[in-house]
Amino acid sequence: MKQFIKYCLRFLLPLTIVAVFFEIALRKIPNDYQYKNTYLNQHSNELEVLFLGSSHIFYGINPDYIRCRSFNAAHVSQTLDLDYKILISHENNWKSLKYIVIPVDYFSFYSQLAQTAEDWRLKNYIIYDGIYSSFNPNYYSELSSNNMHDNIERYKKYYFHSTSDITCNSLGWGNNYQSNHGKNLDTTGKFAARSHLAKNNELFEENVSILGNIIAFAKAKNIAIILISCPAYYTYTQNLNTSQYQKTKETAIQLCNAYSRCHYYNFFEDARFLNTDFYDANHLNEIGARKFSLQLDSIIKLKENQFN
Amino acid sequence: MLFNSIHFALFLPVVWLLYWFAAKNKLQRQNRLLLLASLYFYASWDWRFLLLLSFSILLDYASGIQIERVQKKSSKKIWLILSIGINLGFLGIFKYFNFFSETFADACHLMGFKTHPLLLNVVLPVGISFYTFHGLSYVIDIYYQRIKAEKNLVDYALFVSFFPLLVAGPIERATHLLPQLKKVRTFDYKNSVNGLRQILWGLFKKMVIADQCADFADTIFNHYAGFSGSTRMVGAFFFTIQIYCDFSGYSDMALGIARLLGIDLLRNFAFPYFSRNMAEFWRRWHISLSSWFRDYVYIPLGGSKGNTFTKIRNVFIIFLLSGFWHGANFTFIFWGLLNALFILPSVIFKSNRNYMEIVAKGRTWPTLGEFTSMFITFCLAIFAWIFFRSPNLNSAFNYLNGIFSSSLFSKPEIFPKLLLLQVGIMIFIEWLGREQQYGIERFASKWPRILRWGFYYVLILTCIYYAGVEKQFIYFQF
Repeated sequence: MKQFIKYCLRFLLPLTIVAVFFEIALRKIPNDYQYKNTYLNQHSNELEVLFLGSSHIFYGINPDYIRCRSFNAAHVSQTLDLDYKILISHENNWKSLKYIVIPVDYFSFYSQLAQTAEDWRLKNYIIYDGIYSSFNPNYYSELSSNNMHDNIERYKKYYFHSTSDITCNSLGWGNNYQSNHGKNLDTTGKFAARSHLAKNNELFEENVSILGNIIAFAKAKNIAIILISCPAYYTYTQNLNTSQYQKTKETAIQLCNAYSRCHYYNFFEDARFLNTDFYDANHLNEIGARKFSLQLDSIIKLKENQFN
Repeated sequence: MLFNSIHFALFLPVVWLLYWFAAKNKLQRQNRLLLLASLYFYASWDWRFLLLLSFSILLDYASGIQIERVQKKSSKKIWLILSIGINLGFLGIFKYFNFFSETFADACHLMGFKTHPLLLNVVLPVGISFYTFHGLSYVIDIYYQRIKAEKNLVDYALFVSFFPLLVAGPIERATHLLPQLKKVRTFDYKNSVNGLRQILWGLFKKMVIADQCADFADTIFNHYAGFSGSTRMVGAFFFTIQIYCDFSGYSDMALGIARLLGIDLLRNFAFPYFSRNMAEFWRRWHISLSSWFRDYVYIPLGGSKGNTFTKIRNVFIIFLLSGFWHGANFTFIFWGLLNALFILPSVIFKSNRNYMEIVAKGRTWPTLGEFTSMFITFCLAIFAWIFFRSPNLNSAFNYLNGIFSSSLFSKPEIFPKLLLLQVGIMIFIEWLGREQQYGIERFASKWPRILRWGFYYVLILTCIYYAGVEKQFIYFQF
């Protein structure tokens, strides 16, 4: 048996060395998660407005247009449970925070990242943010959570062509959904509406409770909460399940009743957003992001005046 | 926990080390440890499934003892019927209830009555068809006094739930596995190396071939209406390769893992696509299920003895059951019927016992006649798999309709050359190893170590390269 183990170890040694080297190299590639975590570690005590949420916020709100000191901490597919974990992980640092902006979109109460096909993204919250834990060992390594082809591409891009994985600007806005590369609004609308349809209601109560916790957290620290439904193009909104949409909207309004400084704004079918504002049917491009950010800035300023 | 997951890659070495070090030369410890590992393995899907598995184990364990203990033949029969009835009852509820309910409602609708089918919202427990068949064969064998009832609950529970075979077989027999569980297993270097090699080959077939074929087969089958006959043919070919590499890959891994633990499992695949007729194909495909039906249904019905009508009837029964075992859908039943039709000529003309040996035994290449027979058998298998893969019969016939059209001779819209090359290499290696238990049992065995290890590294790195989203094994759904 000793001989068997010896040969196994000898056989596995080169593979292990290559794997460790590759894992370390991949982790050294700068990415959005690492960047945002570092930013929050350094500046969370100075922030006045914090944007959380999924790709709708990540691509939709550019803090450059917000007059208060703000940061976009949203990520693609980031769900409410992760928003809450980000908030809690810097619990004692939100010394200047006045507003937390959270999206309440069509799918917000029906999904959690761990239960979606995008669950591989959880590795980012484990490796770079240290805010998530799981029994699934895949999420603890870059190598095991991504397809090897993608990993090799990332490696080549960074080490041979000096292109990093960072897709956001210095304040966290995702800037690679540009108007000149927009997608077909018809097909993307139908596809996104289909994929955002809730498969069941299993996560509804839990997600409502998580948002309730976020509101309670804000209330305890006297931070105002702004819940928003992000703008979407009609090819998306008209293909949605009406009862899922209504239930989401009503729940958001109900949650706001628990805290006087919690307000809900619905931009979902806002006619001010035109086809030229969208990258695809449910994501804004840089033009739409500017428009949306300016509107949020006006809301924040208005609230500031009211509170003062 | 899939065999091709990181979770399993951590689980197996831990079990292996504990098994050979902490439980070394101690039978009870070895069995208890394997049972615990098996229960953990099964619970990793959903711990609630453990309740059903435990009930099934306890039922068959107690029934076995009762069948042996009671003296009267009629009492033995009652216990047997009770055990079979409850086992099949559970299988029926979890797997077939909604199918029967919907079919009944459809039938009522056709007759002008409006009914709403009563549907159960239950998840099909992983591996239920496999462990139910373990239990059934056990109580039937006791009833026919082929084996003694197992008194040790741990040993019996391990026989049913042994983790390499729990979720997708091979369907073991108590006569084969239980005696092995009654003896201390001792480490064997050659057997362990052989086990590792078999696991590697299984992983390669699953992760490199089956999963890639699945992507193309899924795309073509899911959107077949927009594809030409030639592309549909490519889709059917890829599904034929996918299902073989997926299931035989799983079986190779199961057998290899069991070998690492000093246990020999029944062989499940013997290079079925090298068969020269459908009878040979069915002796080489999912052997443990075919032989189960042969021993517990076909032979008791009279087998191939008796008049021609009896033979035809028995063949149809066996293939209908086999189709239905795979799932509650008319596509599986039709697939079973089709295979019965394919095999019928050889049963009627008594050529079903031809070709007991592997093709071109002792030679490198087949004769032209052998090649032609293999090609025809392979084409028949492709034809039948279209029904197996399609979501319903209507889709299957529409799919076929497109194949048998002039567009069959057009250039396929999807033609992944690299994958075809990989499939070709896999088939070539299996061809060279067809006289062994699995493709690479002897392959490269005489090469210098550096080259041999190099070959294994290539297989491993290819697996890692293609590892992406873990894809379930097709047979888990059965």
